[in-house]
Amino acid sequence: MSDAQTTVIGASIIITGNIVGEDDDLIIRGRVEGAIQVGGTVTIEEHGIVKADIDASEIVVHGILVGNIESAERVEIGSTGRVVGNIKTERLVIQPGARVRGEIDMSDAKVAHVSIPSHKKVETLDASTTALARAALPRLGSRLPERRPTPVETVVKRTPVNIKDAAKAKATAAAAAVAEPTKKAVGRRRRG
Amino acid sequence: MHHTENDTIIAEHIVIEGEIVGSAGIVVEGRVKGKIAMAGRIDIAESGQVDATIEAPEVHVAGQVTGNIIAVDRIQMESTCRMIGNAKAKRILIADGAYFAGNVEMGSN
Repeated sequence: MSDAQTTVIGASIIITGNIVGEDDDLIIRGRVEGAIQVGGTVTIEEHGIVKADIDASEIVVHGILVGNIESAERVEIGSTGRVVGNIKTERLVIQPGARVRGEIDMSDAKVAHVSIPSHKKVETLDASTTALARAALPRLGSRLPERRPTPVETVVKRTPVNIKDAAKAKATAAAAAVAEPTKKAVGRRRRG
Repeated sequence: MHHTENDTIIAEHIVIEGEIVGSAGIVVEGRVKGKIAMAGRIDIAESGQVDATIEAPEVHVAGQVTGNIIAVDRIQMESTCRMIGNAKAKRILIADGAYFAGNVEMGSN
């Protein structure tokens, strides 16, 4: 962006209040207390101190920030950056040496702002997950009917068979020649 | 532009509501509502709109100002200036074409 579009808060400057802009960039070398809401990039330089909630498309912190950050695209906390506050963004970069205290939310809430690379990531993840699920499902499907219904069926079958056999045994009035083959038949079923 | 690297620039589409205080200069191309108090020079550019009390050693106005200006040294109103409010300074310059409605207090501190 051109210089005319960039707002610079000089090192000796203290702003108490709200800063609102459209697609403008904001460079803070001094102090800002209040709220910042711009459409462009907010850069807090090394000696900049900001005590404000920031809503911008991109936020770069090399100085001190106390407040919540909400960025549609990207947040970067440089090695000299200090942040106390919650961060909500699509992409987050924290350089070694940076200090951050707060909650980070990188959930895909703002789908409208998803950039092309993150879209690709989501697609490949989805494809691999479904492939894994497809591969796993037939195995589970073949195991389940084999193991579970078989013992249930045998239990259900055994009792009526035994009752029937007992009834038959009573009805035939304990004829020794007839009783022997039925015992054999029951024994086969139990083993099977 | 006359500002150095340290100076503060409020770009055209930026709106600041509140107080701006500092020991350097400032260029206002956007909007400021509230108060500006600087130890350096204040430049209100042609696109600048300020609804604020302004205090600085030197104030140049090419844009719109609604509010009082107190300058220790000098107030300069350019031809594109539209100023509504009181002006107090050691020296006050008003260019041909400038609009100014308010009281003037010149000379002594």
